[in-house]
Amino acid sequence: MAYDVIFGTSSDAKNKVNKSLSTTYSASCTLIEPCDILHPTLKLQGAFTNANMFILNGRWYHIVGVTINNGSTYITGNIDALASWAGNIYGTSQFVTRAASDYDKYIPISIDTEIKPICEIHSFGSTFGNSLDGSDCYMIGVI
Amino acid sequence: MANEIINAYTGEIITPPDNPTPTPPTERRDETTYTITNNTARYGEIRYETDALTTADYAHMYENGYVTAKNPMVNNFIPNAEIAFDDILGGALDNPVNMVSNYPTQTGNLKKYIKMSASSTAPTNPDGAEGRIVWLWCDSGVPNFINDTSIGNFHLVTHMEMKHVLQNNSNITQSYADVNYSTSWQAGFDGGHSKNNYSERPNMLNAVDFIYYAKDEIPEIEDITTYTDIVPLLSVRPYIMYPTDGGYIIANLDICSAFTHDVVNISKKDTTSFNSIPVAGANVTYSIGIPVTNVPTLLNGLSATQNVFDSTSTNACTYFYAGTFAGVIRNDYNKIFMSYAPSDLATFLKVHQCSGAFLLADKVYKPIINGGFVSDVSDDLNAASDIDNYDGSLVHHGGGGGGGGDDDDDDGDDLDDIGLTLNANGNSFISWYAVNRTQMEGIISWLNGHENYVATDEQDPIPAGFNAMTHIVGVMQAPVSISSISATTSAEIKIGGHSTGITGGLLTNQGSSSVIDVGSYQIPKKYDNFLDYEPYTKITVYIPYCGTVDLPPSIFVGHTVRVQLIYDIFSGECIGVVYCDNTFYTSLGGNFMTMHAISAENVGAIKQAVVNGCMSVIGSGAVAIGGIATGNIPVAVGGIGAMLGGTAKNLMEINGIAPTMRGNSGGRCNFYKPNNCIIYITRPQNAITDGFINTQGMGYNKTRTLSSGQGYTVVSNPVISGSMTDTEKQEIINALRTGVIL
Repeated sequence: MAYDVIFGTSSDAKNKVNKSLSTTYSASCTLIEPCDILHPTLKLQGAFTNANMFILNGRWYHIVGVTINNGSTYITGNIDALASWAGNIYGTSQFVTRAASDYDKYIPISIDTEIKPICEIHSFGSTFGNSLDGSDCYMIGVI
Repeated sequence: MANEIINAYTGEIITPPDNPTPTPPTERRDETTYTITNNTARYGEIRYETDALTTADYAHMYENGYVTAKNPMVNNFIPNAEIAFDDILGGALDNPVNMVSNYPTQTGNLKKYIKMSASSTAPTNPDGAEGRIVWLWCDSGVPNFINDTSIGNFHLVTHMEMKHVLQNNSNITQSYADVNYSTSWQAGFDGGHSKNNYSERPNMLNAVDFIYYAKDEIPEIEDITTYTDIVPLLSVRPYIMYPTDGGYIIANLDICSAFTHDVVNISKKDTTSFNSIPVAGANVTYSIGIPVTNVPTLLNGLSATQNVFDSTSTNACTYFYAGTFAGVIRNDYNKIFMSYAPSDLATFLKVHQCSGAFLLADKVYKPIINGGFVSDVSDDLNAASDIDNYDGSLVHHGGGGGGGGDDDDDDGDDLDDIGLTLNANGNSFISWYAVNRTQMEGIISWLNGHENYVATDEQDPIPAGFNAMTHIVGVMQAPVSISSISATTSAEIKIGGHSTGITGGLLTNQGSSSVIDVGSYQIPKKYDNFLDYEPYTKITVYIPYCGTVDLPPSIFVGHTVRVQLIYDIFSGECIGVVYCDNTFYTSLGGNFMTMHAISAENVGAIKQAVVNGCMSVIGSGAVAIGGIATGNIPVAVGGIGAMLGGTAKNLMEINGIAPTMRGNSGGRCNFYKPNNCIIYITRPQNAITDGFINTQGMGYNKTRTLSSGQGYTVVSNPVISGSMTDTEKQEIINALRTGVIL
């Protein structure tokens, strides 16, 4: 059975939920059975153009292997659950411990990088004179 | 015919009429202004005031030539007038916060103001009583004006003239412009209210008006030569504010229990919130005043009016003082209240705290002169210019006041006859002088010339047998410049009542002279996040002569650490007081001065003993040498010990002469310590770089829908649902735990 598969290139980080594809194209593929939908292998009927992800039946896959045998191209993918179920993920309400937006800057967080303390030294106040330069102040009590 | 009187401000020579019956002023400034039109219920505030001075008082003063400058308050006085008070704010006054309004939204310092009471009813004013408005305003956003955080920005001006406020709404802006024109942030009053000033500032009718008294009419102060023409006396308008069910009553001083002679400390509040209106009788301190840090600036701008403000901070409380000068422009404002010195002759405001209210005492105060110093004030204009004894009698120049009074002869039976006076310190017969090294050398030289001295100076005969050293009670050395000792007045040093010809700085007031503002330092935020606080940031401040103290970053970061040094002139002890902004934080003790031993008695014998002692040491050394030679080691050790001791005291003991030693010798270690404050701020280096937040995130710790966030996000215990496989769910959960990018 042939499937229309969308191939494309994504430069997003692997842990990005809502990925985007560029340089997309569609191609007709057949599934090599037995097929694990989380790790499918496609047989591409035409020529393979550079891509690192494909979309099959709404699921997003990272291309992990491309094999050419007897003039056919076999493409193996691993499921990208984040991209595949981005809508579900965005719609959930979660307890967020760290965030890059709207964060509270005064909540201490663990910092893995080394913190080397430095000491700033500031002098202030100039009321007192130099007591050793002859400008001493004597107090004398008399009756 | 009354005497001619010179107005200190204008120089105008005024001849009071022969029959100076007080009449309403011809220059009515407010007669058409008592209608509040288009009032928004935010501005109207009318009250009547009564005046503590009666018309008879005023007539008496005028008749006697005391009053030379127009005092409209007195002129317009209605004795025993009822207070008209009508709150039109519909209960808004129940909550003072509601009285804070943003009108007008002008630039400049005046941004908000608060009215304390209001009325829509034009007062019946047949006799010229003036409406008054009490304004409280602040120069920055102050949500509630009586609390610790806002007090520093809080100012009070009372008694604005009604007509400039209540004409209509549009005039509010004008009124503000007028106030702004005065350029004066004035704590409750505007000094220098002379006729000229009045015309120059037509929109300010001030809480403080002056009544000028001719010098000739106050003979007790004739010795004061610094001010040759006029002695200004102060008349403070009375008012008292205390909460009622309907707002605030501004009443006459006489209504509540007030105490005369209570110097007004316009002080910082206590912990009671003004928002919760205290019940009558509650002990609440309200506050008015000017932040100490603003005082110099204020004074610079107020030279024409010659207001005087000062503050001192003791016992974790900042006091603000206010006073007025007249006659000259004063630059040494900081001496008022710090020293009762003749050069600082001035009047000053008295504030009194009473139950559930504060008040400004309404008195005309007269300086009490004692020995050339203003030692007290009195509301009795006929009071003798002397300090009162504890029993009410006069100690000095009292003319038979009894109880230790002077009998006005020179028979040697009282203090005057032997040259002793109760000095300004008021604590003993001892006068303390601050002198520099040259002056000290002069004193030593004088002493050397006057021990057991028989003088021939007819102007200042020193009796035979006079031992000048017996009159020296202590010598200390402070590791500061003499310029740091501000609360002094120049005076000739007299020892035993005899002139030395050496001028020193007579300490005039122990309480205030012992405070030195060391300095302040603002501790900025560096990262503006948690790294600015503990445990990442630590702050330590070194206070000269006291030591170091840790400052919690949670309190001090973003604020100013201010250090004062308070020292005791008698013990040399000191405490360093640390403030966060103007709020007391902590203090720590130290030692400020170095004592010097004084062998004040038997000086001649001591000198002789020194000689004998030296001879004894030499002899002991000889014995020691001999002892060593003969094996008598203890004798040798004793001799060397005495020699190493080397002090006169040891020598005296050796020779069996024991002079009376006074004072203690202290080390001069303090002289080598840093004499300014040092602050140490230990901070982490910036580990949170620009990319850190994008890849690591910052603390959030709240629940939210993930679609509302952006960027790196870490979820605790994520929950995911949907038609995905279990493997996919687990993969999503793992990703959310470790962090995803939304």
